[in-house]
Amino acid sequence: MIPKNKISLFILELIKMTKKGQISWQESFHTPILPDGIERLVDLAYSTTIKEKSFRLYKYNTKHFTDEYEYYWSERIRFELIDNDGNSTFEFPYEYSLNDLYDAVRESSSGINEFIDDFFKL
Amino acid sequence: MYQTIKTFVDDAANWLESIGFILTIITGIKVFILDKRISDFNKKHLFQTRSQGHISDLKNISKNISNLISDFDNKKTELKIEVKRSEEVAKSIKKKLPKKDIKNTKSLIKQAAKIEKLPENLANLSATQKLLNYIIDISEFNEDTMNDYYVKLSGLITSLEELKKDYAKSLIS
Repeated sequence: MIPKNKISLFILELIKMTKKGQISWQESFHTPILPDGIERLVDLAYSTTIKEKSFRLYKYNTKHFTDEYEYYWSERIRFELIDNDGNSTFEFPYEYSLNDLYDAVRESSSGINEFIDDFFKL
Repeated sequence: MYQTIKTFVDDAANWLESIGFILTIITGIKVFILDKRISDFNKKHLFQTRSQGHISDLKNISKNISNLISDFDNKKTELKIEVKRSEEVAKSIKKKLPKKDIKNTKSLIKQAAKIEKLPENLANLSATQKLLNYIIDISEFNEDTMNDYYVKLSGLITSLEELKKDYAKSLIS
């Protein structure tokens, strides 16, 4: 089992590298397959390749039942290692920093910073 | 005959007194346990109703730190401000948590207090402060310390969100 702290530091390092533009994220070619009716994808799924390993990151809603027919949806981020066919081979345990990573990835892949820089050069 | 009845009544009184004493102790213990349960219940309720704002504050701080930490060398002062802010929020959260659930919050407050004392740059210290640092061996505020703090903060937010779910269940049942 991987120590929790090691995973947390890895996620933090990815946040830093994403912010510095050292790794680039694209819209994932393989859309994650989620259990029907229980989970649903929110927005885009992103992927990146680091040292020949592919990672996928996405936000999803998950259904929580409070009674037989009563439920509510909650939002979560999932980060996983995937194979060439987009199958998940390892899911990173959830922790709040994944939200920060997701925000950093969304910002960098949207290209909004470059756009604003270009806009001011006009 | 009178003597026998007197002895019987005395013995019965002694026994009842002993039983009464034991019952008082048992009741005292039960009241103590109940009081603790009520106190825990109150704190859980307080946490349920008041924690959302605090958790949102911690999430904002976490986002700010994640933005600043990639440029650590130039953002030391701003990072320390965020650490101080998170410490204040954590202190407020600690008051609303039952004792058995304060471990992570306490640990973050302790770490924040440590970071606040760390000098941003050893070279900028006066000769006396340098000597003092040398004697008590205080290191500079560095990226590793901040990384550890961010990891702790993220862990605290995750655990607070889980506690909120658990408390919601235990307050309903």
